[in-house]
Amino acid sequence: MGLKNIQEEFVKLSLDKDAREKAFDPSSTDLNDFDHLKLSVKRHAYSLIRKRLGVVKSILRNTKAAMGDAFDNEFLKFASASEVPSGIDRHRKDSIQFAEWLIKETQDSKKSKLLKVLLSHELQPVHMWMNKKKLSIQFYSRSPHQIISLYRDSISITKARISPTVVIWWETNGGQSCYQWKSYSL
Amino acid sequence: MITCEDFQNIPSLASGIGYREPWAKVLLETGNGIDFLEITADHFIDSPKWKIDQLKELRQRFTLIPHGLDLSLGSAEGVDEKYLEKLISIIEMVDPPYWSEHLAFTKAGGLELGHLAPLPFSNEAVDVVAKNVQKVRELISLPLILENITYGINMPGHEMSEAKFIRESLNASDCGWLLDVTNLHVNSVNHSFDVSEFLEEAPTERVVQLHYVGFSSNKRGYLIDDHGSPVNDEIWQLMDKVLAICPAKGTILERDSKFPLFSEIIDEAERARSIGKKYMRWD
Repeated sequence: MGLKNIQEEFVKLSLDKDAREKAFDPSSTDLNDFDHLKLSVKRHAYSLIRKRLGVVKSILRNTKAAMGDAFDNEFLKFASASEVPSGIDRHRKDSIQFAEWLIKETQDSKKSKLLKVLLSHELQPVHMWMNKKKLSIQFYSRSPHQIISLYRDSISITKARISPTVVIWWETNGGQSCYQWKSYSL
Repeated sequence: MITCEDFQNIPSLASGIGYREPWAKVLLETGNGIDFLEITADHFIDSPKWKIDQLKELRQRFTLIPHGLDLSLGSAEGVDEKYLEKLISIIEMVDPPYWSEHLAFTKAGGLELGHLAPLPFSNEAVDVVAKNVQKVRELISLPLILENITYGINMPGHEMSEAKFIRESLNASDCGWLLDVTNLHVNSVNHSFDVSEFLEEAPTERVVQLHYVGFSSNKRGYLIDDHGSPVNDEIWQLMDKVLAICPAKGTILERDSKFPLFSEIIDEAERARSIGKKYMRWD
């Protein structure tokens, strides 16, 4: 097997759970170059997902703090069933796709609406970066600020009351935090 | 053609750190105790204007070394030309004495791993790296140095040792070596080889820059280059051993997570600086 085939097979086995299960199926008689590396390939595949989780966690910090361990568990479910985004913005795309998946998955739960507000809020700088926007105005029925404060104070975020809110995001000039926001609640 | 002599003509840079966003303010305001910075080029590709302005601001204060992540110089299918063009635009913007990438691959068959994967230590892989680097050189002639990576898997098709593979690859591609001492230590433990023997076989004369950071270990005693730990004693000892024999121009501390107080980063950079001074690698 030439280098090109080895690389293609390795990438496929690292990213595609179904391909992995098929290739390493004990009942299969087909041999491949990675048969004797089954465990290493599985570990590698898992470490790639953990790496994705680490970056997405850092982008969706508030959502992670609000959800706790459930965030990790949901991401692992999402990652094993989704394609890895490509390109220079792969982690930003990953965060957006995970947020969409999470909202869909939790739509019947009590926290769904709050999660939707939190995720929409946290993804604003991501969208601004990707679309090179300098200003963004969002309208919410509940204040993201209130939701963030509630979980910071370890108060159940289901207690967030309806409070129509405008959030204005803007780009600043350099420094550590380059997207800032201010909210105005009615 | 780029020779070892060209690498030796690169000015000494001494002790730097990998630029990370949480340190933007302190670096731009003072930057004391840091001689140069390595920037991850990918973080600036397709970025908004404020990020490019930040890069220009950093450039006014420091020598910047662009470090690429996703060129995939070890890909048998060749390099992505669109990505390469974008990478070059960032490199040209900071006007560095050299730039760096990895002896690895990140994509194949239209799929991206999103992470560095090892190459088989084979003659074919040496040829692929040389061919890809040659293609890159048609667009950017600046000296390029390649980094040794950690690997949890031994790819099928090995024909030589890792040290020999690095030597052959760097010779064939006229590249310098970005010797990551942490990766070397981690691999030596995880794959049970002797570092001294490795260094005897490896192209130490081609070392231009070092990377270092702390490592952690899992329950099975397997070492992990998590880029989130203070520099361990083993790494300081290995850095000492390496700087005694390698003509390095500078060292870069690569901290990516669990960021400590910046003063601790300065202390680690100072320790690396003093080791280099001891062997007269810089003033």
